[in-house]
Amino acid sequence: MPEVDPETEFDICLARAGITLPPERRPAMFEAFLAWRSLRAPLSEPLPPATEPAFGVRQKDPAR
Amino acid sequence: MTAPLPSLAEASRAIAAGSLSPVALTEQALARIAALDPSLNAFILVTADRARAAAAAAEAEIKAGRRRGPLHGIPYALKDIYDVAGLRTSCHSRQCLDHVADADAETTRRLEAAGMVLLGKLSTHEFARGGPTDVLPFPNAKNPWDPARFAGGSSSGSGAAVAAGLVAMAMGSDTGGSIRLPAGYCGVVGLKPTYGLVSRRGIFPLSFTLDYAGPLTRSVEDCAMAVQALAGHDPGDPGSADEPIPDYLAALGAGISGLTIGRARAYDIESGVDAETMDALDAACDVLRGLGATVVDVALPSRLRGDAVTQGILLAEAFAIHQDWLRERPHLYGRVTRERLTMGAFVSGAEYVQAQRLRRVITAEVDAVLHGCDAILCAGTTGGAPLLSDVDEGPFRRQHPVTALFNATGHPAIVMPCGFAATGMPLSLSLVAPSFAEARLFRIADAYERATPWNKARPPLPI
Repeated sequence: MPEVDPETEFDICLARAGITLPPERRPAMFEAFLAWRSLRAPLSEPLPPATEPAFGVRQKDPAR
Repeated sequence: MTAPLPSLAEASRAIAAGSLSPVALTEQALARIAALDPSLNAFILVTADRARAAAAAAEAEIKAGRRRGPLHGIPYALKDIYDVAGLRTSCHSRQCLDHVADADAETTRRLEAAGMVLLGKLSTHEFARGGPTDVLPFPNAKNPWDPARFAGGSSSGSGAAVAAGLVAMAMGSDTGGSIRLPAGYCGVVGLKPTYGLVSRRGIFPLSFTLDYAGPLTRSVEDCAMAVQALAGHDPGDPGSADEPIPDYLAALGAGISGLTIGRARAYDIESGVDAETMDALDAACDVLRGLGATVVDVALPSRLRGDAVTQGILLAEAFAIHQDWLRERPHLYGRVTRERLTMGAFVSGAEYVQAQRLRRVITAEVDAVLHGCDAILCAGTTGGAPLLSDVDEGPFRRQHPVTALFNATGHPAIVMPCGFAATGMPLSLSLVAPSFAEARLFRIADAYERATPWNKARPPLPI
């Protein structure tokens, strides 16, 4: 799958969220977006099944 | 009449002995706030009439032999994201100027039930997320050690109020370090408890799975006293744990002979901790060895992975909370808050899930470290408080707090003073223990505090 260029991804994310930026703050926000893109790399590391985030739906026996 | 308030423990003992009156103590606090707060801005709201009535009621109860416990009749204050029935919870934001709470937060309820006297609501970074120079409806708190320097955040008013002796205890909240950073920069003690130990119900959320409520105090003993009143299961908080609550004061003074402290030196170096702080941490290790502990080096998860986890979760969860306001009335936020909250638009659903999964991995790694030692020692802040003009107020920090890892892992972490920088600002260390081992944390921190002079220092205030 081709890599989306950062500026396109930036605009799509904001549009999808319904967020508008003051034009004068766009450069600073884009720089921050690039910093997040750089930081998120470890989230691509392979993870074992036991890391599934099931804690939110863990059930309790109502009788206990 | 305007002297710094005594510590919780000192006030408690004096009230029990009949040598201190809750009414007189409350008047002392109100007089000190009136004298100092116009230049510190720690308080957003002072509830003087309510405090006087509560103090009078406490005094009457105590005189009648109905003392509720060690906190009865002692003043406290709340970060203004905590609900108090009938009072505005402003979150230090124009978004919430009309929001009056209809019920107490569970923490408020517990402190009121313990007989404490509410003095008012404290300054915070807007929604516990903005920056110290945002233009907001109330002024930002100043650091009592030097008003040109950062008080830390987001519980800035809590740190400033305790350091300035306006209150003996203030409540803060901590999503990446917001209790521990102001504690560190203001030279007081701050605890982020184990996830689930202290209820978050009635506290305006920033991040559902990274938020914690906890106290800032002058001493470790005070912190243990506060947690004794605050801890316990709350069925109204989905994250609340149903665990037995031990006597947190029982082990204070027991010493730490035979305990093993894991020094996370590599983590601090990776975090950019400055040389002064590293020297102070080395000296702290010497003190702990002198008290009979063994100090060993330990390796924590890398900052890179920790920051990816904490930021991926925080940005997404904060955005989920604020998205409607960001769309419909963004102009009511300060610039820093608005931009930092907007960053959540850039986190995909897949990234959020991966962050929660990787969180499990790094939590297991910290658990493994804590199987080999009794507590971890690392920096509380990377140095003394910076000048306000040097604080990063961009949409995404260039350097994320050294404290944030333990918001993801859930382990309890206490920050306390451990020296001074050449600038005269306090330096701080952090101790981290296994989940629900706050009693051990207090024991170690108390031993260090008793052996060092740092928590006795006071900021250079005019009175």
